[in-house]
Amino acid sequence: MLVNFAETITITRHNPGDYVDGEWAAGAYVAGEFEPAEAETFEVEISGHIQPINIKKQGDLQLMQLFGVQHPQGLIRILSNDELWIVDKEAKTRGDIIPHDGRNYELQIVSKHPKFPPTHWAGVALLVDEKTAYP
Amino acid sequence: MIPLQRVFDAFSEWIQAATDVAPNKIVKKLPPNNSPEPTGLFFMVSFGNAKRVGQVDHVGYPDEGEYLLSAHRMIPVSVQAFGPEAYEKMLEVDRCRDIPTIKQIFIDAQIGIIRSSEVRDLSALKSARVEGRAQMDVFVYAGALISESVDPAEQLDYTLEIEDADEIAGEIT
Repeated sequence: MLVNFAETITITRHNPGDYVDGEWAAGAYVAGEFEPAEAETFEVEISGHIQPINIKKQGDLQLMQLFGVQHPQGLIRILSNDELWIVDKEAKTRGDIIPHDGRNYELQIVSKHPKFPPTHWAGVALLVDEKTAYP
Repeated sequence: MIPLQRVFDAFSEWIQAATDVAPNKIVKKLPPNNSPEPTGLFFMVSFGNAKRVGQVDHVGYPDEGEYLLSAHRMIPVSVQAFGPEAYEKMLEVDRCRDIPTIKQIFIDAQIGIIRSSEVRDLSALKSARVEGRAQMDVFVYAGALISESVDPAEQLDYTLEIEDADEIAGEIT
Protein backbone atom coordinates (compact mmCIF):
# COMPACT_ATOMS: atom_id res chain seq x y z
CA MET A 1 0.00 0.00 0.00
CA LEU A 2 1.36 3.36 -0.99
CA VAL A 3 0.35 6.20 1.29
CA ASN A 4 1.11 9.73 0.24
CA PHE A 5 1.81 11.83 3.27
CA ALA A 6 2.48 14.94 1.22
CA GLU A 7 0.58 18.07 2.10
CA THR A 8 0.73 21.63 0.90
CA ILE A 9 3.28 23.70 2.82
CA THR A 10 3.71 27.42 2.30
CA ILE A 11 7.37 28.33 2.62
CA THR A 12 9.21 31.64 2.41
CA ARG A 13 11.81 31.90 -0.32
CA HIS A 14 14.48 34.59 -0.68
CA ASN A 15 14.91 36.30 -3.99
CA PRO A 16 18.44 35.81 -5.35
CA GLY A 17 20.74 38.62 -4.33
CA ASP A 18 24.23 40.02 -4.23
CA TYR A 19 26.46 42.18 -2.06
CA VAL A 20 25.98 45.91 -2.28
CA ASP A 21 28.01 48.25 -0.06
CA GLY A 22 29.27 45.16 1.73
CA GLU A 23 25.85 43.83 2.69
CA TRP A 24 23.64 41.16 1.19
CA ALA A 25 20.53 42.42 -0.59
CA ALA A 26 17.98 40.88 -2.91
CA GLY A 27 18.59 41.97 -6.46
CA ALA A 28 21.25 41.79 -9.13
CA TYR A 29 23.89 43.87 -10.87
CA VAL A 30 22.84 44.99 -14.33
CA ALA A 31 25.59 46.72 -16.36
CA GLY A 32 27.49 47.49 -13.18
CA GLU A 33 24.53 49.00 -11.33
CA PHE A 34 22.72 47.16 -8.56
CA GLU A 35 19.01 46.81 -9.15
CA PRO A 36 17.15 45.73 -6.02
CA ALA A 37 14.46 43.08 -6.32
CA GLU A 38 10.84 44.02 -5.77
CA ALA A 39 10.82 42.16 -2.47
CA GLU A 40 13.33 40.44 -0.22
CA THR A 41 11.22 37.28 0.00
CA PHE A 42 8.18 35.67 -1.55
CA GLU A 43 5.98 32.76 -0.61
CA VAL A 44 5.86 29.44 -2.43
CA GLU A 45 3.56 26.48 -1.99
CA ILE A 46 5.23 23.10 -2.10
CA SER A 47 3.95 19.60 -1.73
CA GLY A 48 5.91 17.92 1.00
CA HIS A 49 6.07 16.37 4.41
CA ILE A 50 7.84 17.50 7.58
CA GLN A 51 9.24 14.99 10.04
CA PRO A 52 10.74 15.58 13.46
CA ILE A 53 14.26 14.47 14.28
CA ASN A 54 14.39 11.03 15.82
CA ILE A 55 16.79 11.11 18.76
CA LYS A 56 16.90 7.32 18.81
CA LYS A 57 18.59 7.28 15.43
CA GLN A 58 22.36 7.58 15.40
CA GLY A 59 22.29 9.50 12.12
CA ASP A 60 19.89 12.09 13.49
CA LEU A 61 21.99 12.50 16.62
CA GLN A 62 25.01 13.16 14.42
CA LEU A 63 22.99 15.79 12.53
CA MET A 64 22.17 17.48 15.84
CA GLN A 65 25.87 17.51 16.74
CA LEU A 66 26.77 18.86 13.31
CA PHE A 67 24.48 21.84 13.72
CA GLY A 68 25.12 22.29 17.45
CA VAL A 69 21.51 21.63 18.32
CA GLN A 70 20.72 20.81 21.97
CA HIS A 71 17.08 19.90 21.58
CA PRO A 72 15.28 17.81 18.94
CA GLN A 73 13.00 20.77 18.20
CA GLY A 74 16.05 22.58 16.81
CA LEU A 75 15.99 20.55 13.58
CA ILE A 76 13.37 19.22 11.22
CA ARG A 77 13.57 16.95 8.25
CA ILE A 78 11.58 17.85 5.14
CA LEU A 79 10.71 15.69 2.13
CA SER A 80 9.35 17.56 -0.85
CA ASN A 81 8.05 16.78 -4.31
CA ASP A 82 9.05 20.28 -5.38
CA GLU A 83 12.50 21.80 -5.58
CA LEU A 84 13.90 23.34 -2.42
CA TRP A 85 16.32 26.26 -2.49
CA ILE A 86 19.43 26.26 -0.40
CA VAL A 87 22.34 28.64 0.08
CA ASP A 88 24.28 28.58 -3.17
CA LYS A 89 27.01 31.03 -4.14
CA GLU A 90 26.73 30.28 -7.86
CA ALA A 91 22.96 30.74 -7.99
CA LYS A 92 23.24 33.52 -5.34
CA THR A 93 20.36 32.08 -3.37
CA ARG A 94 19.64 31.61 0.33
CA GLY A 95 18.00 28.77 2.19
CA ASP A 96 14.21 28.47 2.20
CA ILE A 97 12.37 29.34 5.41
CA ILE A 98 9.97 26.60 6.46
CA PRO A 99 7.31 27.28 9.07
CA HIS A 100 6.57 24.40 11.38
CA ASP A 101 4.77 24.22 14.70
CA GLY A 102 4.79 27.98 15.20
CA ARG A 103 8.52 28.31 14.52
CA ASN A 104 10.61 29.10 11.48
CA TYR A 105 13.31 26.78 10.19
CA GLU A 106 15.97 27.57 7.61
CA LEU A 107 16.96 24.91 5.14
CA GLN A 108 20.58 23.85 5.60
CA ILE A 109 21.21 20.77 3.49
CA VAL A 110 19.26 19.22 0.64
CA SER A 111 19.76 16.16 -1.48
CA LYS A 112 17.91 15.51 -4.69
CA HIS A 113 16.71 11.96 -5.30
CA PRO A 114 16.06 11.62 -9.01
CA LYS A 115 16.08 7.85 -9.26
CA PHE A 116 13.18 7.14 -6.96
CA PRO A 117 10.02 8.25 -8.71
CA PRO A 118 8.62 10.65 -8.18
CA THR A 119 11.74 12.82 -8.05
CA HIS A 120 11.93 14.35 -4.62
CA TRP A 121 14.12 16.50 -2.41
CA ALA A 122 15.11 15.61 1.14
CA GLY A 123 16.46 18.31 3.40
CA VAL A 124 17.26 19.28 6.95
CA ALA A 125 16.28 22.68 8.33
CA LEU A 126 17.59 24.48 11.40
CA LEU A 127 15.52 26.52 13.84
CA VAL A 128 15.88 30.26 13.23
CA ASP A 129 16.83 32.06 16.40
CA GLU A 130 15.79 35.71 16.50
CA LYS A 131 19.12 36.68 18.11
CA THR A 132 21.24 35.28 15.32
CA ALA A 133 18.88 35.93 12.43
CA TYR A 134 19.84 38.87 10.26
CA PRO A 135 17.20 40.46 8.08
CA MET B 1 27.46 57.83 15.57
CA ILE B 2 30.91 56.71 14.48
CA PRO B 3 30.71 56.48 10.68
CA LEU B 4 31.55 52.82 10.12
CA GLN B 5 29.83 52.86 6.73
CA ARG B 6 32.07 55.75 5.68
CA VAL B 7 35.14 53.78 6.78
CA PHE B 8 33.91 50.72 4.91
CA ASP B 9 33.19 52.70 1.75
CA ALA B 10 36.70 54.21 1.78
CA PHE B 11 38.29 50.79 2.20
CA SER B 12 36.06 49.36 -0.51
CA GLU B 13 37.14 52.10 -2.91
CA TRP B 14 40.81 51.52 -1.98
CA ILE B 15 40.59 47.75 -2.56
CA GLN B 16 38.74 48.19 -5.87
CA ALA B 17 41.33 50.68 -7.11
CA ALA B 18 44.20 48.41 -6.10
CA THR B 19 42.92 45.07 -7.32
CA ASP B 20 40.12 45.71 -9.85
CA VAL B 21 37.71 43.45 -7.95
CA ALA B 22 34.01 44.12 -8.45
CA PRO B 23 32.14 45.92 -5.63
CA ASN B 24 30.07 42.81 -4.91
CA LYS B 25 33.28 40.98 -3.95
CA ILE B 26 33.82 43.17 -0.91
CA VAL B 27 31.73 42.26 2.12
CA LYS B 28 31.44 43.61 5.63
CA LYS B 29 31.51 40.42 7.62
CA LEU B 30 31.40 36.71 7.10
CA PRO B 31 28.21 35.98 5.18
CA PRO B 32 25.57 36.22 7.89
CA ASN B 33 22.50 34.08 8.11
CA ASN B 34 23.52 31.72 5.36
CA SER B 35 23.77 34.29 2.61
CA PRO B 36 26.28 32.81 0.18
CA GLU B 37 29.87 33.99 0.07
CA PRO B 38 30.90 35.66 -3.19
CA THR B 39 32.41 33.41 -5.83
CA GLY B 40 36.14 33.53 -6.50
CA LEU B 41 38.43 35.98 -4.74
CA PHE B 42 36.65 38.23 -2.29
CA PHE B 43 37.58 40.69 0.44
CA MET B 44 36.10 41.20 3.87
CA VAL B 45 36.47 44.44 5.80
CA SER B 46 35.60 44.14 9.48
CA PHE B 47 36.08 46.38 12.47
CA GLY B 48 37.88 45.67 15.71
CA ASN B 49 37.70 47.24 19.16
CA ALA B 50 37.25 50.97 18.75
CA LYS B 51 39.26 53.06 21.21
CA ARG B 52 38.69 56.61 22.39
CA VAL B 53 41.42 59.00 21.31
CA GLY B 54 42.40 60.96 24.45
CA GLN B 55 40.63 60.85 27.78
CA VAL B 56 37.56 62.95 27.03
CA ASP B 57 35.86 64.13 23.89
CA HIS B 58 36.13 67.85 23.28
CA VAL B 59 32.95 69.89 23.54
CA GLY B 60 32.70 73.44 22.28
CA TYR B 61 30.35 75.77 24.24
CA PRO B 62 29.25 78.69 22.07
CA ASP B 63 26.91 81.42 23.39
CA GLU B 64 24.41 80.60 20.72
CA GLY B 65 24.02 78.11 17.89
CA GLU B 66 25.01 74.57 18.73
CA TYR B 67 27.20 72.72 21.19
CA LEU B 68 29.63 70.64 19.19
CA LEU B 69 31.17 67.43 20.48
CA SER B 70 34.03 65.92 18.48
CA ALA B 71 34.28 62.19 19.12
CA HIS B 72 37.45 60.70 17.69
CA ARG B 73 38.02 56.98 17.77
CA MET B 74 40.87 54.76 16.69
CA ILE B 75 39.34 51.80 14.86
CA PRO B 76 41.38 48.74 13.94
CA VAL B 77 40.16 47.58 10.55
CA SER B 78 40.89 44.01 9.55
CA VAL B 79 41.15 43.55 5.80
CA GLN B 80 40.90 39.92 4.77
CA ALA B 81 41.07 38.21 1.41
CA PHE B 82 39.80 34.75 0.54
CA GLY B 83 40.30 32.78 -2.62
CA PRO B 84 42.82 32.46 -5.43
CA GLU B 85 45.85 34.79 -5.15
CA ALA B 86 44.57 36.21 -1.88
CA TYR B 87 48.08 36.97 -0.61
CA GLU B 88 49.25 38.55 -3.87
CA LYS B 89 46.14 40.73 -4.08
CA MET B 90 46.52 41.81 -0.46
CA LEU B 91 50.11 42.82 -1.22
CA GLU B 92 48.72 44.97 -4.03
CA VAL B 93 46.30 46.64 -1.61
CA ASP B 94 49.14 47.33 0.84
CA ARG B 95 51.45 48.57 -1.91
CA CYS B 96 48.96 51.22 -3.06
CA ARG B 97 48.28 52.66 0.39
CA ASP B 98 50.30 55.85 0.00
CA ILE B 99 49.51 56.63 -3.63
CA PRO B 100 48.03 60.17 -3.75
CA THR B 101 44.74 59.00 -5.32
CA ILE B 102 44.24 56.47 -2.52
CA LYS B 103 45.18 59.08 0.10
CA GLN B 104 42.61 61.40 -1.44
CA ILE B 105 39.89 58.78 -0.87
CA PHE B 106 40.63 58.87 2.85
CA ILE B 107 40.99 62.66 2.94
CA ASP B 108 37.56 63.00 1.31
CA ALA B 109 36.09 60.55 3.82
CA GLN B 110 37.78 62.41 6.70
CA ILE B 111 39.55 59.30 7.86
CA GLY B 112 43.19 59.14 8.84
CA ILE B 113 45.30 56.03 8.40
CA ILE B 114 47.64 55.81 11.38
CA ARG B 115 49.52 52.65 10.57
CA SER B 116 49.07 49.24 8.99
CA SER B 117 50.40 45.86 9.92
CA GLU B 118 52.31 43.33 7.87
CA VAL B 119 50.45 41.32 5.24
CA ARG B 120 49.86 37.85 6.61
CA ASP B 121 49.44 34.73 4.53
CA LEU B 122 46.81 32.66 6.33
CA SER B 123 46.14 30.10 3.63
CA ALA B 124 44.63 27.00 5.18
CA LEU B 125 42.90 23.77 4.38
CA LYS B 126 39.24 23.92 3.48
CA SER B 127 37.60 20.60 2.72
CA ALA B 128 41.03 18.98 2.23
CA ARG B 129 42.15 21.62 -0.29
CA VAL B 130 44.08 24.79 0.32
CA GLU B 131 42.13 28.04 0.26
CA GLY B 132 44.22 31.17 -0.18
CA ARG B 133 43.67 33.62 2.66
CA ALA B 134 45.47 36.80 3.63
CA GLN B 135 44.93 39.43 6.29
CA MET B 136 46.16 42.90 7.16
CA ASP B 137 45.30 45.27 10.01
CA VAL B 138 44.92 48.96 9.28
CA PHE B 139 44.46 51.40 12.15
CA VAL B 140 42.44 54.49 11.34
CA TYR B 141 41.24 57.58 13.16
CA ALA B 142 37.65 58.39 12.38
CA GLY B 143 35.68 61.19 13.90
CA ALA B 144 32.07 62.04 14.42
CA LEU B 145 30.59 65.41 15.27
CA ILE B 146 27.58 65.50 17.54
CA SER B 147 25.73 68.77 17.90
CA GLU B 148 23.08 69.92 20.28
CA SER B 149 21.32 73.24 20.01
CA VAL B 150 22.14 75.86 22.62
CA ASP B 151 18.91 76.87 24.32
CA PRO B 152 19.66 79.95 26.49
CA ALA B 153 17.07 81.07 29.05
CA GLU B 154 15.68 84.39 27.81
CA GLN B 155 13.12 84.91 30.56
CA LEU B 156 12.72 83.53 34.06
CA ASP B 157 9.41 83.69 35.94
CA TYR B 158 9.53 83.43 39.69
CA THR B 159 7.62 84.51 42.75
CA LEU B 160 9.13 85.68 46.00
CA GLU B 161 7.46 85.20 49.34
CA ILE B 162 8.70 87.28 52.25
CA GLU B 163 7.59 86.07 55.66
CA ASP B 164 9.01 88.85 57.78
CA ALA B 165 9.12 91.92 55.62
CA ASP B 166 10.31 94.23 58.42
CA GLU B 167 13.64 92.42 58.92
CA ILE B 168 14.79 92.75 55.35
CA ALA B 169 13.02 95.96 54.50
CA GLY B 170 16.19 97.95 55.11
CA GLU B 171 18.22 95.80 52.76
CA ILE B 172 15.90 96.31 49.80
CA THR B 173 16.75 99.34 47.77
